Amino acid sequence: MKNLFIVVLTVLLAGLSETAGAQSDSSETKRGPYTLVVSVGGGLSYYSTRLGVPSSLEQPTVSRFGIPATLRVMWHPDHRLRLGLETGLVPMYSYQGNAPASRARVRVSAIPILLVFSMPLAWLSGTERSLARRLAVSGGTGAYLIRSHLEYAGVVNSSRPSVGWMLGGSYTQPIGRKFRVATELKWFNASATEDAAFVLQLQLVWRAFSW
Amino acid sequence: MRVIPYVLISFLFLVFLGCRKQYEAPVPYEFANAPGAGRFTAPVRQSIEGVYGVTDGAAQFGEQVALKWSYVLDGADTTHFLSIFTGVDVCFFNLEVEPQADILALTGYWRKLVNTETGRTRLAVRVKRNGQLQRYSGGLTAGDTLVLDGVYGNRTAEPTQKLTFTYRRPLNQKPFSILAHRSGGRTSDLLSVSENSIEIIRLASRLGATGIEIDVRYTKDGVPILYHDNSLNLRLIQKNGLDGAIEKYTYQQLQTFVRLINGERIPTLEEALETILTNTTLNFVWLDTKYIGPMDKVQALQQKFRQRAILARRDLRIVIGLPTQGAVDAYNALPDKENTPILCELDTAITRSLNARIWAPRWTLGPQTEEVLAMKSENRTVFVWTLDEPKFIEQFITEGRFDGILSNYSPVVAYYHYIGQ
Amino acid sequence: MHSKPIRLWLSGALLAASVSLAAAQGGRQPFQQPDERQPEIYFPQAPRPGEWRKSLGLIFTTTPPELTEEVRVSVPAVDFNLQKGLSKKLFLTGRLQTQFVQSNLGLGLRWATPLSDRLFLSVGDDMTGWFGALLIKDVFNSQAYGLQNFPNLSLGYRLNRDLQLTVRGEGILDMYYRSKVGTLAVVDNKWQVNGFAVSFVLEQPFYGNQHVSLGFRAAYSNFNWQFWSLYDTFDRNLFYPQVIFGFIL
Repeated sequence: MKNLFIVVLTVLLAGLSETAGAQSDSSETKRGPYTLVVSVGGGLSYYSTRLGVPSSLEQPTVSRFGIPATLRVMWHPDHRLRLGLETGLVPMYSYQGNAPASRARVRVSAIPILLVFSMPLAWLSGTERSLARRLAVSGGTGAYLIRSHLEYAGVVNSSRPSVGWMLGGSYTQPIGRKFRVATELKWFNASATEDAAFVLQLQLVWRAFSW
Repeated sequence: MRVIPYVLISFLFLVFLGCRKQYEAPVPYEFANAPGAGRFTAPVRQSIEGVYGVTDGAAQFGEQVALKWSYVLDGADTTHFLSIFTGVDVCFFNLEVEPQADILALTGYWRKLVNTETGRTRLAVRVKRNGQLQRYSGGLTAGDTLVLDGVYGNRTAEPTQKLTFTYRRPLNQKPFSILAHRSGGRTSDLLSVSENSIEIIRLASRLGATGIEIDVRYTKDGVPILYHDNSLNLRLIQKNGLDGAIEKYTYQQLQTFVRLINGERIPTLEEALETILTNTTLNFVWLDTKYIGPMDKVQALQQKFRQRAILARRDLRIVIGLPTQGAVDAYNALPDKENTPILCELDTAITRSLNARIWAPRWTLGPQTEEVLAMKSENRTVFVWTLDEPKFIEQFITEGRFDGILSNYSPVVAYYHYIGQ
Repeated sequence: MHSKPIRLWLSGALLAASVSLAAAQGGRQPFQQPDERQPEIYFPQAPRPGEWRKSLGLIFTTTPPELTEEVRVSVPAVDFNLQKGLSKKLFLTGRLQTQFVQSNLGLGLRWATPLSDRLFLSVGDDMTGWFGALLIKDVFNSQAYGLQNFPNLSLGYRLNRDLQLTVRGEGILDMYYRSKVGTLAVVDNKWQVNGFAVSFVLEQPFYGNQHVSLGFRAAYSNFNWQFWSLYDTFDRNLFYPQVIFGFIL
């Protein structure tokens, strides 16, 4: 996990620096347009950390993969830094096995509620032709609502909030004046419950309105 | 090469992340737990208890220590342990007798609860007679001084550093309740057993406790169990994917899926009281009301085990703690309050209105001298909770107005109480 | 068991992307030296002599489980910074962090110098005093205050014209602690190392002419003034992650 931090940080810093010359002076006094951008996406998630299966379960089977969904609303001001909120549903993992009384199943998922900061690797006042302008990194902090589902001698659906983080990198392809398609690789980490997952998503990005 | 700064920054980030330390303090000694006391007969054990000066090892363990025996009962078997309480870093020793040794020998480990320092130790009991250290097998005469000398080490290393304790005076005999929080201590202090487990109840006396506070909740199907927090979480249990309030799960589900952080099962209140009654010498149980709802099942268990204690001629008080107005309401809703001793954590007016025989304010309110003296003049017992700060423990004990202290650091409470003169 | 290879694979892919991007962009677009300073608070560059600069924001500290147990939250504190240039390289720093029931006031001196057109360095020392008081019926009658010292070293790197990165390392020294409950008080006036902290802060324009500081600070320390009322008894360094967000005024 530490290696990944390093790599993402290097991507962020290298990208930000190497594209420096491509930018206009973003601290001009005249303000540019502000835009509200809504993204929805889905893809594949992979639970990337240690999970615990009780030793009382015989012949356990584990699944680390899931299909996550994301909704993100971002404010794009007239500079590089962007701010918004993200939520969605991230499957974490599930397992099943034979317990003394019957077959048992456990499923864990999370609803992130995150404050997200995002930055394109380059900041251009003109078009989005630059590759670096289309690449962005994002980081978020906030809460995850961790949901657990148990089927054994009855069904228990339960949930608990956990503080956590998010880190991501994305590529956005313009497909019209108002719409973009993006692909994003994200790492979700709910620290209190020690749940973490990588998510690869395809997103539809709608530049809802500008002012 | 503009890459270099980023590599350096990334490296710095790695170094900084790598600095996050995982703390562990495994017990470096495996107890044989052999029943009996070997050469340590009852008079010998009694003579050893006391306050000792530290001649060798004072830099590590302080200038003086208190030695106190405890034991665990298993049917007809009694296993004796010697505890040594120090005034430094919440340090204690747990020692067992060496039955094979031809002298009075003890072996075990020491641990500082505020950090992760621990190590093995071996001590022999001898007597200083006419200036000479001699073998001791009981029977002290005037002028004799008991000396425990031996070695201690760090972690699992063979002990090599010299350690000498020299008898000074008897332990303070004034009645005082040393109450251990969460059945003995906190999981965050990296004890070898989990809080609110059967295993820590059996350990509590060796940590200095004369009584314990235990946290009671109900499972979904109404079984009173021991658990402190509102939810299942990784502070207390091993990772299993289950989350949320423990009250949402049945006893069967918890028994199948949930293990406490050190691998123990979540005990029922009945199992806990059975252990306290039959395996320990603890004389006080504070049933902290963590649940919301009827109190009748807890009351029934309280009455059952109080009755059994009386029949067994066991000095054991079992009281229900009332920390909130909700708990007071649950108590008031009981149809019959006979034989239901309570402890009130709310203010003195509520304590009086309930006629609780024990008042237990928070320590963060200070010594509250006027209120404490008033409650004691009404023949009420006064405890303070949950006091862990060693310097404040010393001050509360020195002031001498409270009848007991509830603490996660019962070794410190024991130390400051027993060294009192 | 199979998660590590996949993480490594992902790490490798990201690294490859990074290197490719750097290779694609590198050399083609040389860095342009900014012709004037950017608004900054963390970046190790002294204000002009006599010039004041200030920022107002929030710091969110995630509570360590050793202290708050199952309650894991990010606790916000108001964060106000004030700095004044004394000479070309020397400047005064002042900082107030408050959660109303507990506050921390710091004063420091910093010496900053450019090492190149992009790289800047500062060394400094901040002395902080903190105070907390809680008076809640049946719960608290407690006060505490103390002094801490933070020798610090910052490296700043101008990533480009509008974006500045600062990496700051701080030592944390305890100098004085006094805690009072009711009429009882304890004092600890031994100087001792309490821990250290590392911060990564980006400073850049956000909207219009408004610049912000956005960063992450990780403190590994034995005692944290924000949690004085939890009466930490551990002699171990606990992890206090903090998110920093401030408007440079």
